[in-house]
Amino acid sequence: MKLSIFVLMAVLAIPVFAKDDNAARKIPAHSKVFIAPMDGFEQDLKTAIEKKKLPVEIVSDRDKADFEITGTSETDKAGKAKKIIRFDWHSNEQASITVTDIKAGTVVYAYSVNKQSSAHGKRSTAEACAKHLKDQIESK
Amino acid sequence: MSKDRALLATFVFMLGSLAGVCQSTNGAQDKPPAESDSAKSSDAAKPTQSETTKSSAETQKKASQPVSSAKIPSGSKVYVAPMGGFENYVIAGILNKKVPISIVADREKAEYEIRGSAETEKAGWAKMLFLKSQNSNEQASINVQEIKTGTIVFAYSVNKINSVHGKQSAGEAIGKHLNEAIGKD
Repeated sequence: MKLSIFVLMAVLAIPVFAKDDNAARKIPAHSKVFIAPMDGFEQDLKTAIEKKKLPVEIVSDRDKADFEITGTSETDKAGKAKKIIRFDWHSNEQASITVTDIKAGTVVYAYSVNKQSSAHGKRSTAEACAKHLKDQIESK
Repeated sequence: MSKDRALLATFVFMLGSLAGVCQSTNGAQDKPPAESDSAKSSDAAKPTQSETTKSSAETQKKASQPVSSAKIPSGSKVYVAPMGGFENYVIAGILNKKVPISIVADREKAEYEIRGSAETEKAGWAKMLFLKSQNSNEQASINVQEIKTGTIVFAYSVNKINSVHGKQSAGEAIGKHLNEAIGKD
């Protein structure tokens, strides 16, 4: 009986120790973050990070940074068909960001977002990225 | 009355026996040739015939195996090569699906490399008019290569018609299927 309880406890404990490498590394609060150029999306992301009050320090020099945010964003503006048939002027937006630990050279966080008929264009996707990044930092 | 019952019982019995015969013959037909050969070889007393059947079974087994059966070990360092922006979606998909690998930014530090391509076909006016859909069609393909040996250990392609979340859906599909290919032992 005791042996079976011990075996059960050991089996239940396995998932606790079996964490993957990416999940183990989190972004500490007050880290220095460099945002790499993303064809203008970096400006929206900076604004969103400030608006959402992320506890990170944005630096303009990559050498001084602990983490780097790279990514891409795409905008699909509403065409004539969408405007006439659906009466919809909003664009479709999608973006994806990756946060890399510069010293270790490993990716610690990544997030992608897709917004159809985005009310505020790139601003919406940037704020979604910032919001989820904040959750990752504060979940430490 | 009892005669009728007896007749009915015999009729049912005959039907059942006929069905059994049909099943046994179909089963023999459905069996792969290797199994039927081995069954025959068990009856045969000659050792040469059994050897030949064994070798044929082995060759068939080898043919059914994938080209590279090596699994990607858990905790491997993986580099995701640029794919015109799609690499970010792949990384996000991998992290979202909690694939037990470590993604590195430097190729030299990596054991495996993910390469691939992605295509997006946006909804045209006809699709919007007739199907009332503005979702795009997405297709992507990746392959995982072991850097040291240069062998492809995993490959996957995805095609999503009317993808609700665009490239995000394709990236997450890749992450999901890559998770299944990682050796967890």
